[in-house]
Amino acid sequence: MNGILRVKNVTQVFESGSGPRRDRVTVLKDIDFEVREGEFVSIIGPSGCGKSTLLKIIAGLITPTEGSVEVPSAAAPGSLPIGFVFQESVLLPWKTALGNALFPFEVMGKDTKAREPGVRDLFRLAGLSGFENYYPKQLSGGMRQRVSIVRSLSYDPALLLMDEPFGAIDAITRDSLNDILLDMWRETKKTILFVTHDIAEAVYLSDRVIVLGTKPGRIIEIAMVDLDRPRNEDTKLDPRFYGLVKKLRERLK
Amino acid sequence: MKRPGHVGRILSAAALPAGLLVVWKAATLVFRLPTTFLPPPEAVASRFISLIGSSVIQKHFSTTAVEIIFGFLCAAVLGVLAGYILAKFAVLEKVLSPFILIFQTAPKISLAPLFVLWFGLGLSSKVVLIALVAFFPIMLNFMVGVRSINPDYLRLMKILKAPLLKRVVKIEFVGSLPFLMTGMRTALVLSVTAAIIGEMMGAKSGLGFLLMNGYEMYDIPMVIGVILAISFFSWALDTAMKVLQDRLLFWHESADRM
Amino acid sequence: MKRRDLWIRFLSFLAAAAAVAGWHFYVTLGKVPAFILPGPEAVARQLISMVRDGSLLFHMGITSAGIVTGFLIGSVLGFVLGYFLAKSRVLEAALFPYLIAVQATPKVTLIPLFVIWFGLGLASKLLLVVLSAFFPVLLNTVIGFRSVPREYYELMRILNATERQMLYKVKLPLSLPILMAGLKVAMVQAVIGTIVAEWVSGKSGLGYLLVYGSTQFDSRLLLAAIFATTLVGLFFFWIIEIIESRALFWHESKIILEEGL
Repeated sequence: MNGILRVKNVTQVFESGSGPRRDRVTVLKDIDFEVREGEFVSIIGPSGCGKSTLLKIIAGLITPTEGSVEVPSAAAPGSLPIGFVFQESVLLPWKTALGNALFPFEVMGKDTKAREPGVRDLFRLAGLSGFENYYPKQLSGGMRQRVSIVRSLSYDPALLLMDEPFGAIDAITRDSLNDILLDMWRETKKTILFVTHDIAEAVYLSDRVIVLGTKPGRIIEIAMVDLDRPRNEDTKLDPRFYGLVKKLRERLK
Repeated sequence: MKRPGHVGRILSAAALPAGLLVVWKAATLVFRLPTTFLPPPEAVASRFISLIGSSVIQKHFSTTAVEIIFGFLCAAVLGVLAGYILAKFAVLEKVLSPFILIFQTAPKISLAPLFVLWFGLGLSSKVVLIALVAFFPIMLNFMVGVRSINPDYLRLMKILKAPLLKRVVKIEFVGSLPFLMTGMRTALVLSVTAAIIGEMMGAKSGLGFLLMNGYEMYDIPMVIGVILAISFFSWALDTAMKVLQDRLLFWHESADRM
Repeated sequence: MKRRDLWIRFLSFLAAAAAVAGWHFYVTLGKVPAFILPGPEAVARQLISMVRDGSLLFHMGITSAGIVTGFLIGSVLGFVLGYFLAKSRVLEAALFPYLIAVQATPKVTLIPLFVIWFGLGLASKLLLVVLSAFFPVLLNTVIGFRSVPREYYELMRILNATERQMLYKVKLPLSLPILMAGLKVAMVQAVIGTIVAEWVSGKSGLGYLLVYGSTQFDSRLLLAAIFATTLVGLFFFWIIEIIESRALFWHESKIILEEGL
């Protein structure tokens, strides 16, 4: 396949409670789409519509009730197919930023020293040069998320999944993090699947935007984002930008 | 999601103790333990009931309860006062902090015999010990609580030209309540332990004294009965405090889930 | 601010000196009988003579040995059991409320029972200290493991980590703050347990000295014993604090309000 990711007819039903009061919630229904190599695709939708669940199914953390997901196999020995960035930075507080970024290799039992130069390069891309030996408690929220992103890219995954990574960050920092993310994406040529509730953010970052509904969560639309790259401040002044944002907002109602 | 009914909850809560009782009884039967070692539950129960009948338990229980009430109240009043003063005068707190630290972490129960020497075998020696023990958690927690009040609230009160007392009570006291409750809950458990230990050390009545009585007479059913009574009492007080805490602090994103 | 800190240190020292001086003057001017409250020099002399004849160190040693042994055994048992308990959701949920309930009860009430069962010797004392340390550590181990945020589990699964890696690399270090808090409580309880056990069942140790001084109305001995007990209690608590600050160098400082008895 020339696509990196293939989601086939995924349906996810959650059950809670027991006996006569058993609740069945269809969180996702018939989700079907494809992501091509090097694409940046966003998933947007109202809260509770299962976007995070979908991402976790793709990551292999949840087995879908129905349907299947095809992900690429590991590119090379010493790497894993998927990288995941959470909303919380999920760093190990007793390790330095560099230690955290090298942690996947520690888990895989690979030589971390050998991997250091590559990771340091990622730090540079993320604008964190000089902060490698800082501890998480010494870093701001935005910086911690950047470390988390570096960590997820450190082992060269074929697919990067991001679950509202900037959701807990303030708006100003978020804008600069968006640009840093685009820089890193451009340099590393990764395939990214990005979940967010911020429509403008999704349009700014992506090639395509998947709009998810709720109750049940199904794909309402997959929109092409036709704006020029590289994206910057001017992109946001482009009438096509907020035209698309407005249109997507309508679709979500 | 259906919640188990009240009956169901009480049943499941009683499950483990009931199970232990069964195991206890079974052990005495299976191992043929001499009653001088481990009497069966009925023996303990009947001994305990006879103690109630002769008003022994009530007498000693009320002694312990009175000690705890007085000691705890003293500690609460003094602790709140001291905590407030230390919260407001940071320099004083810094100067006194080594002493506070020492007093707080040192085993204060070692003072029990000294207090008996000074105040006799009556209730006062225990009340002093309890007050000393309960004082620190209350004072420290209240101090931290007052300090943690967002200064904007105080400024707001100043702008509204609220009188000092109102400011203190409405904002500072209520705002520190979560901390104070935590401190008081800790202090209460410590108070019970201090009371019992103080009575074991030297007393004329009280549950700890009764425990030592039973011990000296090798009256195992009574010893076990008193142990269970003390444990239940301590647990009941802590639970009552927790309920009070939950009621008073329903508005607070409660940090304390224990 | 260095100057200010020095000034505060000096004031603290001054306060301590004033307290001792106050004690001295109260005793001499108030003509307090020596058997009620001896003055600071009398207590100091008592302490020195007890150090000289080795008795102080002997009893301190006995008590310390009891504390350390009971604490170590109780903590290890508590931790191991806590680990296994945390593995079974069902068992943990069922037992947890009881663990909390037991924490609210004074374990020292058990010493008379233990002495009746096991005699006056070391066994009953050790058993009490072990139990005193066991429950706080068990409880906090369970709570600590519970407190690991879900995302860390997810991260480790994405990285294809093994159960063992999850435990050693993530679960244990993340639970450490709560575990250390439990160890502090356990140490305080162990000290109390040792002293009370020595009161009731001992023929040596600081607890025994306290009883002896009390029954003999020897208030100098009593005060010396109180001083020594305070020293021992502070010392062991301080050791745990040092371990904690080393182990938790990475931890964001929290307000952990300790309890003391």
